[in-house]
Order: sequence, then structure tokens, then C-alpha cells
Amino acid sequence: MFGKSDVGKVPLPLAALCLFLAGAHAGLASLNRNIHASPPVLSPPPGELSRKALAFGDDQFLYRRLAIDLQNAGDGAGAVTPISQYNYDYVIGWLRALSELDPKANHHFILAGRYFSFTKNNADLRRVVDFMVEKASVDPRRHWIWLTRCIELADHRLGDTEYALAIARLVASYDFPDMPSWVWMFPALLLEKLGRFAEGYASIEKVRAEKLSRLTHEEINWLNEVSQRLKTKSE
Amino acid sequence: MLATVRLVVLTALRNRLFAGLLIALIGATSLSVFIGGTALLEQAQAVVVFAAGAGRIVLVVGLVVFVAFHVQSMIETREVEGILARALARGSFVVGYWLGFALVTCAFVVGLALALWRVAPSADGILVWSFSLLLECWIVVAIAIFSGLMLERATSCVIFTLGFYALARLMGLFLGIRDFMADARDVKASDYVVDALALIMPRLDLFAQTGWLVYGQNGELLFPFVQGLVFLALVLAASIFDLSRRQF
Repeated sequence: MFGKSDVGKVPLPLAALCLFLAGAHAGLASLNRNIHASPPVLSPPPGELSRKALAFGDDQFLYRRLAIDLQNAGDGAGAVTPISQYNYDYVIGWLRALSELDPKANHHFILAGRYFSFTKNNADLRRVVDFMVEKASVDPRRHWIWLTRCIELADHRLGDTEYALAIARLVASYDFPDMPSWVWMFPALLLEKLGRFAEGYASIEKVRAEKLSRLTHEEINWLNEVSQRLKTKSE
Repeated sequence: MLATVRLVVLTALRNRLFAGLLIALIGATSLSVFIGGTALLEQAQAVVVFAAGAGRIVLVVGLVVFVAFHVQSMIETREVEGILARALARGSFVVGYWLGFALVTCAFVVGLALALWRVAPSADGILVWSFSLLLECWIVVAIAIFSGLMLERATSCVIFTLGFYALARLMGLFLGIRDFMADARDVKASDYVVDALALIMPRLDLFAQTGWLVYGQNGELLFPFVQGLVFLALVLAASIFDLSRRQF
């Protein structure tokens, strides 16, 4: 297909021009070497209309794609971004966008509760917990488990036991078939931590009165022990 | 008509449409398994959604490109004239040609549905999703045949059909914007355009929702499906109309 090349037949000025242009291009390329895109750790979340356009009629596909995007944001191409460098206005915005695309899914909850909750900034953490409480209480049958994570975050990380108690009372007000009994006993334990023993005793006795048939033998023993302890402390 | 159907299926086999699309679908599914597997939670859901969504796009693009180039080649080689020179009515040719591709599409959709069946969290959702994808592909194939016969050039046909497909997939968005902005301004020209478009376009944005594969299907589907079937018949009738007034 191709004949033998004959370098000798190429006019010398043309060859020199090619070499000069190649050299000039390389020189210019080295000058603008440092001009490049610097991808942000996390871009602003897409608005509702943008999401509808991006989804092309398939919100679920976009949800899964954006959830993976958010999961990997800032961590890629050999770079790992510390949590402190994330803009939490954007993080919360992304989490909200995801929850609007698929309110039933759990992926955005795990990103909120098990990843972005590792921030050391308590104001940011409180926003994450607020988000989780707000969204999990919309469909508690599906998402009550994330409220227990919120209790843990509010009590242990925020040091706000009153807030944890409010969330615990919310979770304890639910009664779904797959709920373990310890969820109903949380308020009593937090009340004990707050030194409100009489209220704690009343709370645990309420569990006994309303849920006894749902408790195992071991759970009843434990309930008795806690109840006795709270009663003693309250007297 | 059956001969035309057989011709299309044989051509698809001979031109390696089955092999090509199968490789593309396997590639898309493998990539979906890889990407979905990186999810922190709900990996099975992510894999199913990615595989189904990517499969839909591969199927639609693959069918459109094949139909467009096949129609162009039939026109360029005067094969279409040879077929129409026989006693075959032009209407039978168009319907037979579409039926051939409808059969080919069936094979792919059934294959894709079977591949997703084992991993999809919702078994009833996959039935509705498969039927809906089938109808969506049938509509797209009909538009590709219509534009291929009308425009006679594969590139124009591909651009026209994919543009139409994108518009049909975005109709919900346009209608949403139109209704949202209805009270916010006085200029109504764009409203009329969107309203007119809504009368022409099928609502493909209501078809093949991957959410059905995860949570099952709920909501009204009869209207969009019936509208889709009517639109399909309309496009085929328009293709027959266009072909019947053509001089070869």
C-alpha cells in the first residue's frame, strides 16, 4: 500500500520548517504546561431542573450515578481529600439532591451517617444529623435504623444528650416488625445519663407495659435490672 | 411480508448485529458490575440499575445506527427497488421491515431481562421494565425506518432519530418547565411550542424506569403505553405514506 520512504527526496527547507514548528510547539507547550483544570473537591449540587435534564427520564439511574460520584468526590487519581476540606454547604446540598431523586434508597444515608459524619466540625456534623433525622423520619419503616446512628452521633460526637434523647424518643415511638427491643429502651438509658432517673424509670416501665410480649427472656431480665437500678437511683 | 421479516433477521445475523450488540451489552454489563460494586451500600441495586440503564442506551443507539445504515445501503444498492418491483405492496414492505427489527429487538430485550432477572430485587418490576423497553425500542426503530426512508442518508437518519429520542426522553422536563413558568411571565410563544411538541412526541420519559427494577412498578402506565402504541402505528403509517408517493 505504501511505497518505500525516501527521506533524501524531501526538500531540505520543508524538513527544516517541520523541525522548527515541532520545536516551537514543544516550547509553547512547556510554557502553558501549568495551565490546567483543577477539579474542585466537590462541585455545587445540581438543581432540580438540571437533575431532571440529566436523568433523561430515569431518576433512579441518575441517583445511583450521583451517589457513586459523591462517594468518590475528592478521592481519585491518587488524591485523597481530608473531610475538613469538603464544603458542607455542598455536601448537604448533594445529600438533599440524592434524597429527592430516590427518597427510598439507603446509599445517601450511609454517605451521611458513615462518611461525612466523620467531620471534626460540630456545626457541620449537626447539619448532617439534622439532615438524617429529617429524611429518615419521612419513611421510618424503611429508615429507622439511621435514626439510631443519629442518636449515637448526637450523644457521643456532639455531646448533646438532650438532642440524642429527642431522637431516641422519636425512634422509640415506632413499632415495626423488624425493630429490636433495645430501640425502645434507648430513652431510659439516655435519661439515666442525664440524671433524670424517675423519668427513666417511667420510660422503661412503659416499655414493660406495652412491649412485654415482644421481649425475649434475656431482654426481660435486662429490663428488670435497668428498671431496678433506675428505681433505686430515683428514690 | 414474512420474506421481508426473514430478510431483516438474516441481514442482522450476516452483518453481525447480534454479535456486535451482544459484545456491547456484555461490556456495558461488566462495567456496571464493576462500578456498582464500588458502592458503599446497595451494591446489587446499583449494579442492576447501571446494567439496565446502560443496556437501554446501547440497545437504542445500536439499533438506530444499524437501521440507518441498512436503509441507506438498501437505497444505494437499489435493493429496495428490487423488493418493491415484486408484487409486494409498499405497506407490507414497511410493516415487514419493522417487524423484522421488532423481532431482533425482542431477542435482545429478553436476553437483557434474563441477565437481570437473577440480580434484580423486584421480579415483577423486571416484567414491566422489559415490556416498556421493548415498546421504546420498537418506537425508536420505527422512527429510524421513517427517517431513513425519508432522508436516505444514514448520518442524517441517526442524528434525526437520536435527537427525536432525546427530545422524547426530555418531554416531562419541558412540560414541567412550561407549567412551572406558566404564571411567572407573559410571553407565551414557548408555551405554544411545548404544547405543540407534547401533541407530537411520545412520553418516552415514562418508559423503562430502572427504579421499577429496585422497588417494583407503581403508578399509571396504561396511558403512556397506549399512547406509545398509537404513536408507533402513526410512524409506520407515515413511513408507508412517504414510501407510497416516492418514484423509484
